[in-house]
Amino acid sequence: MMNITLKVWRQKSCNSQGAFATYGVEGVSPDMSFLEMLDMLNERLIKKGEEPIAFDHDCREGICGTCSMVINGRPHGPIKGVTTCQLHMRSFSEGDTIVIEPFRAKAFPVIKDLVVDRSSFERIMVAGGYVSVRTGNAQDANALPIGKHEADEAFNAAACIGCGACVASCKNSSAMLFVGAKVSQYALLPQGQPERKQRVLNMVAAMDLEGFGNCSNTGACEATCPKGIDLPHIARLNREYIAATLS
Amino acid sequence: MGWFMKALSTSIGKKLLVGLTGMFLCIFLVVHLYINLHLFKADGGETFTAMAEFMANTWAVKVMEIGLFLGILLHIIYGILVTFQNWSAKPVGYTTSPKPVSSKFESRNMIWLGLIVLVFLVIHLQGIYYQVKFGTPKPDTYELTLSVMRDPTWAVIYIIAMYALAIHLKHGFQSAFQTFGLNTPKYKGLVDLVAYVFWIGIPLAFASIPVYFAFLGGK
Repeated sequence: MMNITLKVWRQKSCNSQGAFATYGVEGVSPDMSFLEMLDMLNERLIKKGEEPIAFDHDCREGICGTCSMVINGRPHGPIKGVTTCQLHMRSFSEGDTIVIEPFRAKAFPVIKDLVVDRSSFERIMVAGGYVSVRTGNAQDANALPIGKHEADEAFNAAACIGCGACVASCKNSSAMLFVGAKVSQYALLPQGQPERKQRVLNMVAAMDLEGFGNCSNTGACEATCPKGIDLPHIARLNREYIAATLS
Repeated sequence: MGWFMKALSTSIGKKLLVGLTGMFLCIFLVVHLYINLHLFKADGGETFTAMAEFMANTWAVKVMEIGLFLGILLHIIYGILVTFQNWSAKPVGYTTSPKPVSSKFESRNMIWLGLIVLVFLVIHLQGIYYQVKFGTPKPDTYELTLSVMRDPTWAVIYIIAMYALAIHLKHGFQSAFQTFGLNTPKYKGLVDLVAYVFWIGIPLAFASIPVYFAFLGGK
């Protein structure tokens, strides 16, 4: 069992001023997930009559993209390729002080404590993250001839869970890795062709409207993405945008 | 033209303009360096002077000069515009910032490196270009250039500016290709190689001129 100290960002609502609160957490098992450790702290806070810490979570299996938070300055914490819910306390040591902050971006305003509003991603998806063709069932998909390389690349892009860690880690709060993954996923597959040009134009316009910054190729997004989405997807987004604009 | 202006107003459009003007300025750097390297030629400045006169008196070069100033202006304006938008997109930072996992110094400080190059550009234009164009009496380009290169203070300013330019190019060159959509696994090796030769080679060759004339006793 470990004893750790948490410095957690507490903010009552989107319009109120936030500040860090310090909590000593005793009896932390190394086998606990990071969110289970927060659950335990919250139970203790409730018992003391204090307001529990609000944080986003859902599947706790690393696939839904709901959990967020910045742990010691890094979205999803210190382990590469891992979401917060899959991070375990064995990654920390006895006596550690862990600083937990919400994702920071103008397009992700804080709702409460560690919960941020990521509906800007939803609006980008509404602008173009869909296909209009009937894709049928599994056997129909298997009947379509798609090259192995294209299929793999599209699958890699589709691994994006839309958690927003790319935006959180980027010094410009750019959403281009997210949009690059979504555009790539559809552009590489035959099902995505009908809206290919309009999709990239609409998604980039929606991205700009939400107030995300410009990509300056620092690579911080790639380094923190829990699903390993890489920079060539941004290059493809740029290529798709140029082609759609010029054609 | 509506579609063109609309495209340039988007985040990718603005980045494209910065990248394209940056590439244009890179071509200018190569031409400028080619002429400057003739200062090393031991012919009393004959070749350098002939080249300078060609640049000053050819109408095609004068047209390109306007394009060059326009390119510099657009690169600066759009560079600053993109930077301000980026700053406003992250109004609150983090309390703890671990060492950036992959982002390099130059990728986070392009605006400051660019500003150092801009300050140098103003000093450089005032010290040589303006004197040659509008000075009374008009100085000899070769003699003026050599006198500047022989001055240790100027030499140090030139070397610092070339260092800033090198770091600016180190990120800018490969970043432009990423913006053009060409930094793919297929071309990455080639882009990296050309970028490497460019960001080290060009500023180093420029800096070698004041080093030679100010510190190594070049005649």
